[in-house]
This record gives sequence, structure tokens and C-alpha cells, in this order.
Amino acid sequence: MVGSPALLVFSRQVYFSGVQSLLVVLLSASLVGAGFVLAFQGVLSAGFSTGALEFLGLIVVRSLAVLIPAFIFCARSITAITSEISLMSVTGEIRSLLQLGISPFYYLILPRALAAALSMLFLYFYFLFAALAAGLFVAGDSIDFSQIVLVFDSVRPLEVVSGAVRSFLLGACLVFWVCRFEARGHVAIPDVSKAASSAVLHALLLVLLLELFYQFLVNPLLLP
Amino acid sequence: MTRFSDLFEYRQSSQRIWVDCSGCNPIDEMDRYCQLFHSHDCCVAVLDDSPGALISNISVMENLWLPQAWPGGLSLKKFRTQFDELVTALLPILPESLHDLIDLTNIKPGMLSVHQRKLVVLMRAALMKPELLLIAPSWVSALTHPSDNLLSQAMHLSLYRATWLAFDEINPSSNSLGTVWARADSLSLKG
Repeated sequence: MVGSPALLVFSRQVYFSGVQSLLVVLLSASLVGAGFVLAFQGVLSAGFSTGALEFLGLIVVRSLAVLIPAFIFCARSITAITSEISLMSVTGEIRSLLQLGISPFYYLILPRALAAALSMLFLYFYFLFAALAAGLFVAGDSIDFSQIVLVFDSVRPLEVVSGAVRSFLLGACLVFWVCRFEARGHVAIPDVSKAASSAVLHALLLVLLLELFYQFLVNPLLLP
Repeated sequence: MTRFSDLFEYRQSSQRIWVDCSGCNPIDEMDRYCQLFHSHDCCVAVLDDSPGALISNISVMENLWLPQAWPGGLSLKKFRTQFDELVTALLPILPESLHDLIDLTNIKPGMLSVHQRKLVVLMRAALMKPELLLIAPSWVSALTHPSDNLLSQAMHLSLYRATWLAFDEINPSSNSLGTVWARADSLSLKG
């Protein structure tokens, strides 16, 4: 069912959500990584840097590398996707697609959901390495190579895989959720901005709820 | 109101069908017919100049390509080549207003004038080589007003081979059906 036009939508969405978000994800990951280590430097005494980096690795892998790219995705992509689809609904473009025998689900929603999932997966790893690199950079001379190896050893591969899978699923879920939510008929242009703001709000709440669900119910079973 | 079952029988004998939309919204009626024809695997094109007739976030060329490529057909590169060849071949016989279209293919539909938008809709319908051509009320005026020659341009694009379904309210006092179809058929003969 998914043909070349859907691939075009997919590739454009990957470019928008995955590639064009790199700078803002790099910036936020650097701020988180560096800020975290600097904050710990003021609190802990001798041997602080390795401890701070270990803790940074743990919290980034377990939660921040999923949450912060998801928030950035909500702010950038969910707004764009919802506005675009709502506007298409208002102007009658969805109706035109149906008249041409083109399924809006397969043309508009599914490629975007897959692109969002792939982008979120990509951003998870990007955020993870950028935050750790910024932390290491700030820790500077106070740690040596063996301590760096220790930091990476403290991160369990299953936790990384779990975070990556969560990011992937979260990207797809967010797009399906907001498109389903926003698929209700809009009749006027002002409805578009309302739809975009409510979609972002719902998406942020969904991210937090799913993360809470995972941390409370799935994580204890998966990573005891 | 024409019944669906009548329509399929009607196609055997006539290429011009007027769907009386008195008391209902013609656009909703068109949607209903489109759904039905698609469920019968008919190739349907629509002549409609509402703002949403073209997809705004893709270029004019991609709008022309979209129905050809769905669900998984012609690649954009191949379509572009075929389109260029077709236009080059047709250029000597195309009306001058259609020449504009060649320069417009890389821009977004939002930058088109109303007339250019109509041309793109017409070209998209023609490229689909439809069995059925559904004509919205705004285009029906092109049948009834001889000054509007867009539908006569459609003849050059082999749209006359399709069965036409015009959706509008019938107003016998101003338009005689016979006159309207006579005009449509005379245009077909020219084509």
C-alpha cells in the first residue's frame, strides 16, 4: 500500500524531525551533561568527577535521553504535523485525497509515524553521546582514561536498548495519538492554531504518562 | 436523483451524465460517488477548483505525479521524464495558456493564480486518463458559458474519452440540459 509518495513524505519528515533537530538536541544535551557535572563538582569532594559522570550516564540512559528529545519533538514536530494536517482538513485537501482514492492514513499519517519513530531513535543515541561527551569535557583533567572506561561500563546495555526501544515507540505513538485526536473535523482557520496547541499539550502529557508507566511498572520487571 | 445502478447502465450509452443535486450539497454528493467508484476500481478524476483541490505542501509537479504513483507506481523521476516528453509532443497543439504550466511545475500550488490552479487541476485529471470525470459545480459553468474555454482545452488532453458526471442543481428556466450537453458534445467532436 505504501508507495513512492508515502516514501517522499517519510523522507521529508525524517529530515525535519531527525536532521533539523540535531542542533537543538546537541545544545540541550551539552547543557544537561555539562550542567550536571558542574553542579556535582560543587557538592562532592575528592573523586567527585567519576561519581558525577557515573550518575550522569545512569540518569541520561534511563530517562533524560528519552524525555528531552521527546519534549523537543513535541515542540517542533508535533506542532508542525498537527498544523499541517488540520490545515489540510480545513482547506479540503483531505477530501481531495479521498476523491483521488488516496488514503490519508497511508499517505499522511503512517509515513510520519514511522519517520517520527526513526528520528526519535536517532535522537536518543545522539542525545546520549552528546550529554556524556559534554560531561567528560567539563570534568576535564580531573579524570583519566580508566575512569572514563568505568563510566561507560556502568551503563548496562539492556538499559540502552530499553531506552532506544522506548524512544522508537514513543515517536510513533505520539504521531498516531495526535493525528487520531486531531482528525476530528476542523471548520475554520483559527481551529488550526487551537488544534496545534492542544496537540502539543496532549503530547507532552502522553510522554510523561508513558514514562511514568514505564518507570513504575515495566522497569522493575525488565531491569530488577 | 440518479441512482448508482442507473449510472453503470447509463455508461453504456452515454458519456454525459448530469447528477441533479437539488436539495443536497454537490460536493458531498461527489464524495459519495467517488467512494463508490473507487470501490469498483474505476479510475476517477475530479475537476474542482476549491482551494483544497491541490495539495499545498508539495510542488505542482508532485501534485500531478501523486495520483499516478499511488499506491506504488511511477517514480517521480520517471514521471518527470514522461511529463516533459508529453508536453514537448503536445506543445504545438496545446492552447497558449497551457504553455504557462510547464514553467510552474516546481512551485507550490499556493503561488498559483486561480486560472493557473484550474490548469493544473485540468492537467492532473488529463494525465490520470480517467474512465470517469466528476465535474464540480464551479466547473459546470465552463460548460454553460462559452467564453470559458477551459473545457475546450480539456479536449486536447483526451478527457473527452471519459464519461463525464456533472454535479449541479438543474435550473430548467436558465439552462436547458439539451443545450448544455450539445455544447459539451460539440467540444468533444472538435477534440
